[in-house]
Order: sequence, then C-alpha cells, then structure tokens
Amino acid sequence: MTTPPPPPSSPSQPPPPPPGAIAQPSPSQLQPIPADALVVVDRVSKFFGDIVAVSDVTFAVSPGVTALLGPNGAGKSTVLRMMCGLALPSSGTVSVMGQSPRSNPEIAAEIGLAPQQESVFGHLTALQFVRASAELQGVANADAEARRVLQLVELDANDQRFLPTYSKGMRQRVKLAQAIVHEPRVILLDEPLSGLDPRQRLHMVALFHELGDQGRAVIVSSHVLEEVERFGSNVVVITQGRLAAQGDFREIRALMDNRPRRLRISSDRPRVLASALIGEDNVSGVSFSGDHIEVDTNDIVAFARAIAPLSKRVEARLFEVAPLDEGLESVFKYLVGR
Amino acid sequence: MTAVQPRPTTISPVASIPAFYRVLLRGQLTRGRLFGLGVLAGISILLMFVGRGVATFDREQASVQLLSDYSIALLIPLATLILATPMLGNLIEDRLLVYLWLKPVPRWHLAVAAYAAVVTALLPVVVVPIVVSAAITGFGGLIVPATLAAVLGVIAYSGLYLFLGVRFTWGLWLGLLYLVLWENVLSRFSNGMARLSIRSYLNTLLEQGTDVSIPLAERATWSSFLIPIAVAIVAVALTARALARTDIE
Amino acid sequence: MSTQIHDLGYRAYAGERAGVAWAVRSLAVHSMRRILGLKRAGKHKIVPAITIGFAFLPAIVMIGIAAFVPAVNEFDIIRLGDYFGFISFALFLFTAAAAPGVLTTDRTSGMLALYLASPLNRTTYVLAKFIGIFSVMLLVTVAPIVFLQVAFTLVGSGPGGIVDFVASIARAIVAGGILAAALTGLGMFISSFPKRWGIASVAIVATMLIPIIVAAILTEGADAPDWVMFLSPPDILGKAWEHLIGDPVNNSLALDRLDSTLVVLAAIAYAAVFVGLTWWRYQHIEVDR
Repeated sequence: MTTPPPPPSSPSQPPPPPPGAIAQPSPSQLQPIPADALVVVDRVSKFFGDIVAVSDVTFAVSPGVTALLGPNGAGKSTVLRMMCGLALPSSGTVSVMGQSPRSNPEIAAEIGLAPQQESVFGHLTALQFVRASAELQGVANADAEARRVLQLVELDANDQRFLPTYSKGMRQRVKLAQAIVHEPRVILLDEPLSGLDPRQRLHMVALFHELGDQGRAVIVSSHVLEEVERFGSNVVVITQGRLAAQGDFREIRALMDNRPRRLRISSDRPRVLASALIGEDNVSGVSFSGDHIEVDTNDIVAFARAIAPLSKRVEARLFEVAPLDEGLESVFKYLVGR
Repeated sequence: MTAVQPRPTTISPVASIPAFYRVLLRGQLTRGRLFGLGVLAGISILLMFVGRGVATFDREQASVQLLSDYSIALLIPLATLILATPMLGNLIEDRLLVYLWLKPVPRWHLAVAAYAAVVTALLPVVVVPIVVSAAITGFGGLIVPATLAAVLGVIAYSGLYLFLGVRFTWGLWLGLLYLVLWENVLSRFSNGMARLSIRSYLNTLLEQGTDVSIPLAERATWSSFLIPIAVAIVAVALTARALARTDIE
Repeated sequence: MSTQIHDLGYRAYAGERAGVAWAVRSLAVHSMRRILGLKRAGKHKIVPAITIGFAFLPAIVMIGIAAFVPAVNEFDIIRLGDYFGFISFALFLFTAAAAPGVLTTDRTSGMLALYLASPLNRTTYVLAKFIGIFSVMLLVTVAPIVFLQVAFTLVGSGPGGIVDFVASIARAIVAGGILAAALTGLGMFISSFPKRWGIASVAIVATMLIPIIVAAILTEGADAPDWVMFLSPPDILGKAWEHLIGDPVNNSLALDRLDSTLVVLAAIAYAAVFVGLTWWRYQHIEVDR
C-alpha cells in the first residue's frame, strides 16, 4: 500500500465561544489534541430513547493502531458508528480529518469500515463485492485494486463462490479487504479477528501494524484482551458508555496508584521470607501460591528497594520477583470493575 | 482541530449510480420473486384469453374493465411491492446498507440508483404482459392507453413503495394497506379520497384513451400524466432524505 | 442450629417437568403476544391495532345507527350478512401480518432449530403456532360479531329471546371459528415458503385478492358455470360465513346461487386442507440454522 504524505505540523486552536456562551473546557484545554490526530471525538453522547448508550466521551486518535476496548454492551460499536457517520451523536461532535462524517459524505473516501455483522450480499463473489466497493470509492483500476487487497488478506480473487458460502473467517477477511481497498486514512474495524484461526490472526495483526506504520489511524474494537495486547499499547477503554481511560495501558496501570501491585516471589525459604515481608509497612498482603509467595504492595518503588536487603537479612535466596498485574487484563478488570 | 486535510474526492453520478444499480439489481431478481412476478403476469394474459373467448355485447367495455380490474388494480401494485419495498428495505433489515451508504457520494445517488433498478426490472415484467393482454382483446384502441397506464403506474408505485421500504420497518405491509384499503375500498367512497389513489389516475388514462367509461376514472387528463411522475419524484427525494437522516446499522 | 458449609456445585433439575403440552402452550402464548405486540415497544402494536380497529369499525357504526336512528331497523338497511364484505380487507391484512410475523422470523433467526431441539417436534411446533395465530384471528372473525349481537341486544335491536340470543352467539362462534381456521391455515402454509416476511405478506394478500377477481371475471363476464366459484377460497369462506351466521346476502351472483350446505362443507374442507398442507410442509422443511 502507498504511504500517505505526513500531515503538516501546525498547532490546533479551538474556536472562540460565541458571545454570551458559557465557556466549557474543550478537550484541548483538558488534554491537548495531538496535531496529527485524524479523528476527534468531543463530548459525544448517544441516547436511544431513555437508554444512554454513550455518555460524554472525548478522545482523539492519531496514526497508528488504537484499540477500542470495553466489555460487551459498553458502547464501542456505537462509538465506531458515530466515528464514521453512520449514527448521529445526540450531543457533541465527531470530526474525521476536520470534517463531520455525518454531514460531509465526501469524507467517506478517507474512512474504511469493517463492521461487526456477519451478513453479506448473497449474490456477489468476493471480487465483485470488493470491486464494487472500490468503484463506489472512485478508485481507478478498481478490478486490479480489488484483486490486490484480496491477495493481501489471503483470499482467492478468482473464487466464483458467493459470499454466503464463505466461512466466518473468510467473511471477516472480505470485510477487511473492502475496508482498505480505497486506501483510507482512517480504518475502523469492529471485532476483526473473530472467526480467524491463530495463523490468520497473526497475519491480520501484522497487517494492522503495517497500515498504522503507513500513517493511517487503525481503530480496532474488541473485548478480547489477548488480541488487544497484540495490537499495541494504545487503548481507549469504554465501559458502560463512558470513557474509562485512554493512552498506553502500561502508563494507565502506573496511574492506578490506589490499587496495590501484586508480585510473585520465588525463594528457597518462602515461609521465612513471607514472615519478614508481613512486617514491612508497604506490604498490604502476602499469600502462598504453590511454592511461590504473592505479595501485594502499595508502594512498588519502596518495595523494590526493600526486598533485596530484607532477603539478605533473613538469609533467603531470591530466584524470581515478577509483577503479576502489569498486563492489560489487570488494567481492564480494574477499569471495568470501578 | 487537526490540520490534516482529506483528499479531494468527487465521484460523479455517472460513475456511482451505475455501480449502485448493478449491486442492487443483482440482489433483487431472485428465483422466487421472478416466479411470483411470472405468475402475476401470466394470470393477466390468461384472463384476456378467457375474456376474448366470451361472446359479449360490448367487447370494448369488457376489455377495458378487465384490464382495469386486474392489471391496473393488482398486477402493477403487487409486482411493484415485491421488488420496490425490499430493494433498500432488505438491505436495512440485513444490516448491509452500510456497505453502500458509507461512500463519498450524496445519498440521492443511492436513492436514484435504487429507483432505477426497480423501474428497469419492473417495466418488462409489467408492461409487456399488459401490452400483450391489451392486444389479445382485439381492441386496438386499448394498446396505447394500456401501455401508458402501465408505464406511469410502474413509475408512481415504484417511488412510493421504495420510500415505504426505507422509511418504515413495516413498509411492505403499509404498501399492502394502501393497496387493499385505500385504493380498493376507501377511494370508491369519495372523489377526494380518490385523488390520493394512484389507480384512479391510471384508470383515467384508460378511460380517456379509449372513450370507455370505467369506475374510479374521474381525474383530469393532464393530472393523470403529471401526478404519477410527481409522486415518483417526491418519493425518491424523500427516500434520499431518509437515507441521509436515518442511523445506519 | 448447627453450622454447615453447603456444597451447592452443579445440580441437575430433578423436579417435575411439565411436558410437551406445556411447551405447546408456552409457544402458543408467545406467538399470540408477538402478533399483538404485547410486551414489546409501542410501534409493534400499531399494525394489529389498525386491523383489529377496522374489524370492529363497522360494528361500532352499525350500533350507533341502530341506537340513535331506531327507525332504520324497520327497513333492514343494516344486515349482519354484509359484515364479512365490510371487513374482508381487514381480515386479509391481519392474516398477512400475523402468520409471517411468527413463522418466517423463526426460520431466519434460527429459532426454529432451537424449538425443534426442545420437547417440541415439527407437528407440535405447527400445532402451537396454529393455536397462537388462530386464537388471535378470533379477535377479528368472532369478536366483532359477538360484540355486535350483544350491543344490538342492549339497544333493543337484537334477537328476541334468550334462546335466540344464545343461538346467535353460537352461530357467530362457529362461523368465525371456521373462517379463522381457514385463514390461519392459509397464512401459515404460504408463510412456510419464503424467508422474508414481506414476501409472505404479499403472497397472502395476492392469494386472497386474485381468486376473487378472477372468479368474478369468469362467472360474471365469461359466463363460466357457477361451480367455478368453489375455486375461490376467499369467496367460499365469506359465503359460508354468511350462511352460518344465518343471514346470507343474495345479489343474484354465481356465489349466491351455490348450495349453502356445499358451500359450508367446502369452507370446512379448505380449512382442513390448508392446515394439512402446513403440517406437510413443515415435515419437509429444511432447518439449516
């Protein structure tokens, strides 16, 4: 795929509020919008009657792979749909490259969407479907481009079977192909790895990274944490329709300072070491797991300084000191469970 | 706001409408629907053969009445219901409209393409049997008015039912309600109600073109030409508006 | 009280099971609710409300006339036998909404496979759906007439004595029941073919309207013999209803010249055939989800 030109660097300024309006803090005042942001979601809410599907969500997406993370029913798909203009926000604004995707259909040329639903056109082959998408996007040489992206997703462009005969994984790949055939700057993928075998998943994740490295914003919605960890570290976490956290999930973990860190310690004298650890001020809990000790500490820095001298004092050898909750699952459980 | 600008994209209707049209038309001509349309058309021709074989006092009157009672009253609206309402309605129901909607073209391109797909599929299925039926009667003066009524009927009903299919989940049933209740029952009670019946304009064309008096034909001649076309234009415009305003799954 | 820790774990249900009859009842009730839009959003009640409303509308008008203009009763302007003609379109539309709504959706959503994986088999599934649709159809085939007879009696225009009153109600129930059974069977049989409820609806209405027009053209325009009317189910069902109600209309048409006993038997036969065809169809239907 060709690499899009880098965006010009210029600071973005929010427009001044109209006379008499109450000045509300804009996202740029709360958190600066990156100059290279391709998608900006600004205080967006979506109501379906009395049901609040999305509530006051604000974030910006820059080039690269961003995971939209959240449990089932959190509002991820609704946010995705608003980001490509399929749904109108009840309040707030969504802009893609500075334009509203809802009121400016032309911006759809820069948006590629692989939706979650499995339904496909019953009367089209994969090539016909992707080619039609390319034609409707104004792609020159639609047939050649359709064949190219089908090959990219490891599908046979000459397959004469109609789409309903395809397996779930094949349909996923066809959807991805039609989403990228026109080389959009913003690619939205809703549960894209569902139905794929492990090898196909690795291939798709590599493709997502390649697209992100080309300067495109690849936004992947998922609730499968193992998948999301492979996409990279940039996440937007939505739970119960609200934005719970955004950014690098490791940095999010570091910000969770009101939650003890858990570590696993292997030692030749675990019980002796455990007895000594209980007496430390920064240790809030000690438990045994087989031959290992699991320690909860409120101050990871102080604990890290103290563990070595303490082990020496009780003459216990340390084989392993490993964090147990640095992963995305821990972050997710904390954010969702709040 | 971001300083990244999108690529300029202009896709002319000359490019987009045929592309939409091909995707839509292919999906609608299923075997079941073609069978149903064939049965409806076949009944029209069969009835005319039967009518022709009857020694009746006023053959012209009988021919025009027969054409009005079946081809105009049932064949055109039912055939249109089968194709027009599901054209976009099925895509909405199956959550496939997103693949056609999320394109850098104004929504009216899609509405016009859908309408064109309905009309071009229906014209041969409806107009040809009606013309054949009119020819079978042996009443030469019926052929042109029947053709005109058939074409304008397809034009009007296609727009109306296309819009109902997009706007309402129960669009097809609403189309049936209009056909059964309004056109076949209520429009017989008053001239005012008949103004909202497409069938009355088509019957007027038959009556004016053949000088044979039939019920539900009290419209002015000029309106019988213009109103069906106006219905189609307004309906397609409303379809485009509905596509632009509705949330897409 | 002693202290215990109860190991609940997984426990199989060992209680009494209600059996197939309860499954049939549950599915029938669910189908009735679905047709009437009960326990669903308001928009699902619009279609049944419109059709049921139209089915009752002539009755309300007739009662109003009878109550406020008693003199009109002497001229027999209002005839019970005309009622089917007034509401036939409502019956067709109601059938076109009810049957596809509860049958086609089961096949497209995959629920049919789930039902057949339960104690229900294909026959009991059809039975449950029939009971559900038939019960609701009675709202448009029996209820308006019973309402009319009761209201007529209250305003003094109804049957003379208690025996006549009970007889009139019984006739309404029998006539409406046969009509409901036939419409239910026809609607179910047609709905068993297409997967789209809309196509099924169009097919049902076409199956009702086309025979009426074709039979009229053949018998009144082409001088076909009167028995041709037996090939038009909606005409036969309507005429049988008139005979069973006890107030047949006579416009000297081919339909009016048919023997009343044969017409009633034909209507019952149509009901049996449609239901039988539905049962047969569901024995062979392919469940692919």
